[in-house]
Amino acid sequence: MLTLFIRAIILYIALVAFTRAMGKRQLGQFQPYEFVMTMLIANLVSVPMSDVSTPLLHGILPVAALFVVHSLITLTSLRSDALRSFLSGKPSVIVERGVWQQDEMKRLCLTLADALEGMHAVGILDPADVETAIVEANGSISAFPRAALRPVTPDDLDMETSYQGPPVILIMDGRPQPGSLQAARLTGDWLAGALAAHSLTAKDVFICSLDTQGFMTIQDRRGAVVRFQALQPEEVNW
Amino acid sequence: MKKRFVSMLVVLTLSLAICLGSFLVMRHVAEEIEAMRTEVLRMADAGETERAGERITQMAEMWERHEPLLEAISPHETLHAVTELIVEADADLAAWDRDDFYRAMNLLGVAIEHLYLEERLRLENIF
Repeated sequence: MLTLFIRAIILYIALVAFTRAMGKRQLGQFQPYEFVMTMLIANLVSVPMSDVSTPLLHGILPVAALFVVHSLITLTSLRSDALRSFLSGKPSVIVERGVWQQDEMKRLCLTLADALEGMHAVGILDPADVETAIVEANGSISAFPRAALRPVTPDDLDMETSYQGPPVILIMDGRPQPGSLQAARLTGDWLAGALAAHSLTAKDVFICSLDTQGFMTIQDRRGAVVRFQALQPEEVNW
Repeated sequence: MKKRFVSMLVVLTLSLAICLGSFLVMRHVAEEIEAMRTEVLRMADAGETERAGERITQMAEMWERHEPLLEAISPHETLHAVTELIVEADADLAAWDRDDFYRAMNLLGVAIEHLYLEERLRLENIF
């Protein structure tokens, strides 16, 4: 029994290592060849995991082979549009200028019910509101409303906007994040000073973030939230 | 991209090395067992049952030495079958049960060949 337990841990670690090495796309939307591999991997490791008389290598080696093939396909696809198109397919437009492309839907064996379901998933209730809808290579549906129905943007109002990039999370659960400080070109001393101005230390803070406008938002462990201008916008350099 | 390429090469090299090592180990063991098996049969045919018994004991010891490594590369059922056949042949030889002895030794030859052929790269194995 202990053997089964240990073998399951070993195979799990091997799987995590290979899946991690394959990249983020394995965890998100699959391309067809990635979907096939995910199914295969589960089956390959299940037998040695549960059967002590099957060597562990009979599970790990096939997974290694799949990793090699997957890497080869991925690397070649980066350099060859034709191969990428062959393996992953191309997106298909099913609504163009508000008109449903019936021939394309027949070719994809896509029913109206499937398409409407996909539109509901992206927040569009009325099919008459759709200007463009695309079936992506991985099978998901992207739908975009008519221009007249989209939310007003600053561009529409001729408003000037400043850069809004990702905030850096400087403290997580009481622990300063050295990587984030480095990315923002700030120091631990600077952070300590900013916190001390509000009678806080890093340990008192649940989460501390700094946005690209220079605003720092701190939630302490008691739940109190404070937001202040820690940097001038021109001092932000990430 | 470079990291991915390097890791692919590393995994491929390691995998091929394991496959080659596994094949070489299996071939070495199969050849040794087969050589010993042939010797035992020759001795038994010549009436040298005591020497044949000693040789079977050496065969069993050799098999036992390699078994832990073989268990990492081959299904255990086949390996256990070989162990049983060696023990059976030894017992039959000691009791001089001639028919059973030769049956066990023949089956041992088949089992060893099966182990070796399973490890070899053959079209029959692939398809």
